[in-house]
Amino acid sequence: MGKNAISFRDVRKVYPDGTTAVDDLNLDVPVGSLTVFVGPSGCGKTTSLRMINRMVEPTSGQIQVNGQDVTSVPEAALRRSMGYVMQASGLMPHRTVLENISTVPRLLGESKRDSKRRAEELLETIGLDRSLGSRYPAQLSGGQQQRVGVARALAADPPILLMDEPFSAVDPVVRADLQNELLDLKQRLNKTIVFVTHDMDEAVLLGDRVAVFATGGRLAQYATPEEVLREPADQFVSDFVGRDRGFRALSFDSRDIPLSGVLTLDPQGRVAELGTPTMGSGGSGGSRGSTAAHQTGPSAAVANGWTLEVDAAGAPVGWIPPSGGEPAGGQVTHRVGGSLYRPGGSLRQALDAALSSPSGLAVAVDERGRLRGVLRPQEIMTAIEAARESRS
Amino acid sequence: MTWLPENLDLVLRLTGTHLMQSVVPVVLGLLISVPLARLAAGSRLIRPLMVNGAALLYTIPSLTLFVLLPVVLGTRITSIINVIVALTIYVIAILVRSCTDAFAAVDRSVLQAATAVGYTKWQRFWAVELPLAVPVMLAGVRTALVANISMVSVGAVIGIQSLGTLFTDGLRRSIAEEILVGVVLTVILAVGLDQLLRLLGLYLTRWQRPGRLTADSSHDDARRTSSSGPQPSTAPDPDESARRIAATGGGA
Repeated sequence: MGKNAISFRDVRKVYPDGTTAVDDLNLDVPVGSLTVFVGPSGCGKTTSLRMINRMVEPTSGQIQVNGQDVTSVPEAALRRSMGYVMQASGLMPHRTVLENISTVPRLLGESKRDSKRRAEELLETIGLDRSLGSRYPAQLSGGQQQRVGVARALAADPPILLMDEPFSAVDPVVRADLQNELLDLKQRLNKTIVFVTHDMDEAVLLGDRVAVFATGGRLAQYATPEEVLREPADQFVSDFVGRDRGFRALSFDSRDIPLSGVLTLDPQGRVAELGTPTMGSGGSGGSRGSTAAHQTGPSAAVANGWTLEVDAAGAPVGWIPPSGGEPAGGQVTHRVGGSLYRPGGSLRQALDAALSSPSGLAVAVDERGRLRGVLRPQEIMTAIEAARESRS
Repeated sequence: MTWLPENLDLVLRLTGTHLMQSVVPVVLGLLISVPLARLAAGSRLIRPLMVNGAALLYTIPSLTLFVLLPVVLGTRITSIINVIVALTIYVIAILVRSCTDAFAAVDRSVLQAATAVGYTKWQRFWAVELPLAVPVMLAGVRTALVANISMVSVGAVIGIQSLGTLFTDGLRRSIAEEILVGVVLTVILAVGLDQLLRLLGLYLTRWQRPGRLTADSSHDDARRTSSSGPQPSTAPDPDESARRIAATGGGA
C-alpha cells in the first residue's frame, strides 16, 4: 500500500451536447486495493472507469497509471496491460471458450500452445470444468459466460483489473457465488481492481474503498465502506446508501454473544436439551477465520416452547412450534428456519438470524453447519449496544 | 439422343467458361463491396448514399452494359471481359447492401469488448467484424452467384460464349436437345454452387448453433440454460434477407 496504481487528476468529461459526465475528479486507487465506483445511472462511474483504459478520453485533466500518463502509451498496448470485464461478458461469439480466454496473450504475441495451456489452467482457477473449453459462448449459462469473461481478463496476468458492472446481468444466486469468488481471487492474485456497480450492497461487500458518485459526475464521498455507511458525507450519499444503512453497518461489527441452550428433536424422535458452549468471535472487526469455541458451562435452555429439529449430523432443519408439534398422524411438522449465524459472523448476521427465525431465536452453527445453540434477541441487542459504545 | 455425346467437348468447354464468367465477378465484387460496405456501415452519412447508389447500378439493363463496355474498355465485343466487368457491377449492386447490413448487424457490445481488451481497429476488423458479418453477407453472395449464372447466358445473344450459346445455337439450328442440355446444365450449376455456399456458410457459422453440443454435458451446473447468452438473433435471418434481395433484383 501507499503507492497508487491509478490516479485521476482534475479529470473532467463533458460531452459535445453539453452534459457533464465527470466533474473535476480527483481520486487515487492504491496498489492492490479493490475500489468500487458506485452511484446511480448517469453519475459518471462507468465513464470514469473507461477513461482509465482510454475507451473514453477526458475533456481535461490527467489520468496516471503507476505514475505514468495514460496518453503516453498507445491505446491498444494500454488496454492489453489491463484486464477488462464487462456487463454482458463481451465474449467473442465465434470463438471457443479457450480461444476467448487466450485473446490478450495472443494479441501480445504469445504462441498458440502456451496461451492455450494457460487458458486451461485459468478455467480451473475460475471454477469451470476443462471440458467447457471447446464450447462456444452461446453454449454456456450467463454465470459461466461471466466467469469466462473474468478468465479472459486474467489471462495475461495484468496488475490492474477493470470491471464494469460485471455481475449485474446474472441472477442473485449466481451473483453471490461470483462475488465470493472475486474476493477469493483478489486475495490469491493480489491485483488492483476497479469495480463499477450501481448496487450499494455489492459495493459494501466487495470494496476496500468505495467511491460514491453523485448525479452530474461529482465524487460525493471516497472512503471505506464502513465510513460511507456510518458517516455519509452529505445528503446525497445518505439517500443513496438507503434507509437501512444502520442495519447494514452492523456488517462491520462482530462480538461475542452468549449462547443459550435449546430443545432439540433428532431424526430418531429423541428430544434433548443442547448444552451451551460460547462462541468466541474475536471482538469488533475481529478475524473472519474459525475460532475455537470454549466451554463456559451449560445455561438453561430458552423456555419459549419452540423445539429445533436437527438432522443426524446435528445440523438444524427447522423449528417446531410450541403447540402444533405433534399432530395426530405422528408426523412432526416443522417450519423452515431463518438464516444461520456462523462463528465470527457479524452482528448484522446475528440480528438477521434472529429476525428471520420463526421462534425469534437466532440459530448458531459451527463451521460445519452443526447446531451450537441459539442467540436471544436481547443478547444481540446488548452486543450491538456494546459495539456502539466501544466506537464512541 | 445423339447431340450430347457428339458435342461433349463443346459442352464441357462452355460449362467451364460459364462457370468462370459467373464466379470471377462474385469474387471481384466481394473484394470491392466489403470495404465499401464497412465504410458505409460505420457512417450515418455515407450509408444511404452507398446503399442507394449501389441499388441504382442494378437498374442498368445487362445487354446495354455488354454493348457499351467494349466502347469504354476498348475490348472486342465478344470478349468475356465485358461479361465479367458487367456482372461485377451487378454483384456490387447486390453485395454493398447486404454487406452493409451484415456489418451493421454485428453486436456492438462485442465490438466494444474487442476494443477494450486491446484489439487495434485493423485487427478487430479481421478477427471480429468480418467473421461475425459472414452469416448475413453470405446470403447476398448466394443471391449474387445464382443471379450471375442466369445472366451470363445473356452474353450469348451478342456472341460471347457460355452455356447460353447452346440456347442461341440450338434455336437457330432447331436442335431441341441442345437447348435442353443448356437449360439443365445451367440449373445444375446454379443449384450446385448455391448448395456449396450454403455448406460453407454452415461451417463458418457453426458457433451460431448452440443446440448441438448442449445435450452431451454431465458437467453442467443446474442453472445452465441453453437459451441464455448472446444469441445472434439480432442479425437478420440470412435466408430471409436472401429472399428479400432476390425479390428486388432483376437487371437482366
